[in-house]
Amino acid sequence: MKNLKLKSARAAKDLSQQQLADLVGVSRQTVNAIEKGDYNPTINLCVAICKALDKTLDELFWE
Amino acid sequence: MNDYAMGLGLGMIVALGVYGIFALAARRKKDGCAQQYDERQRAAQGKAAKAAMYTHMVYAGVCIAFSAGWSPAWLDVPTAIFFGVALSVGVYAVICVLRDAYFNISRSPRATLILLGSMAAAEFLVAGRRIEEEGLLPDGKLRMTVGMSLACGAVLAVVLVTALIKLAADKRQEARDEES
Repeated sequence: MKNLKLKSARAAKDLSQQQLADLVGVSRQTVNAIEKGDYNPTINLCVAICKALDKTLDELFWE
Repeated sequence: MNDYAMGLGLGMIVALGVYGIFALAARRKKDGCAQQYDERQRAAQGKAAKAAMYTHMVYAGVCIAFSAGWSPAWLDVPTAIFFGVALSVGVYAVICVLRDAYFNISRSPRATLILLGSMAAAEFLVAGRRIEEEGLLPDGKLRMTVGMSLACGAVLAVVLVTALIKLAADKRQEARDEES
């Protein structure tokens, strides 16, 4: 399932996928895969993304 | 140590040195991190390794069937073994490229592609030279001296072409994703 919350949070911060990937320490394709729902990140990566986007886990990853 | 052994050793040292120079050029440190694969890439590499293992098992089965008299063998044994290894490595590399797990976060794709292309060209040059000297199938069998270079060149070329196509597709996809 697509993660539209992550995509909109990233857009709200005016970050490209590459910029978010650099902040979090992963590849751009990984960020793309998470947004498209093709990859389920580990909790560590979820927390890193939340910190980069100033959001909570519920706001980005809870359905 | 005779001249042939010295030449062989020197050639290997030169090859390693050239590879080392290109490999260093391919590295690009980001924020102090050296070569690194992220969790998704490591998971994809694990699946690619499994596929490579199954490929090798199937290939070994085919080789056993041929050696049991199913059909005349056109490979000598060392070449057949090497072909299996090259095939498995090729399957692993191609799946990694397709799953975006070949280039790590800090590596420059351009330098790696140049390295792959150079190595493939060198292998095909060596294979061509050997074929000129010995023929393709001396005694009706493909031997290690020709087969190894052909196999390496083929694997490198396939990985290179796959990487080029994937990188071009990724660029188009990235542009579409940023627009939406």
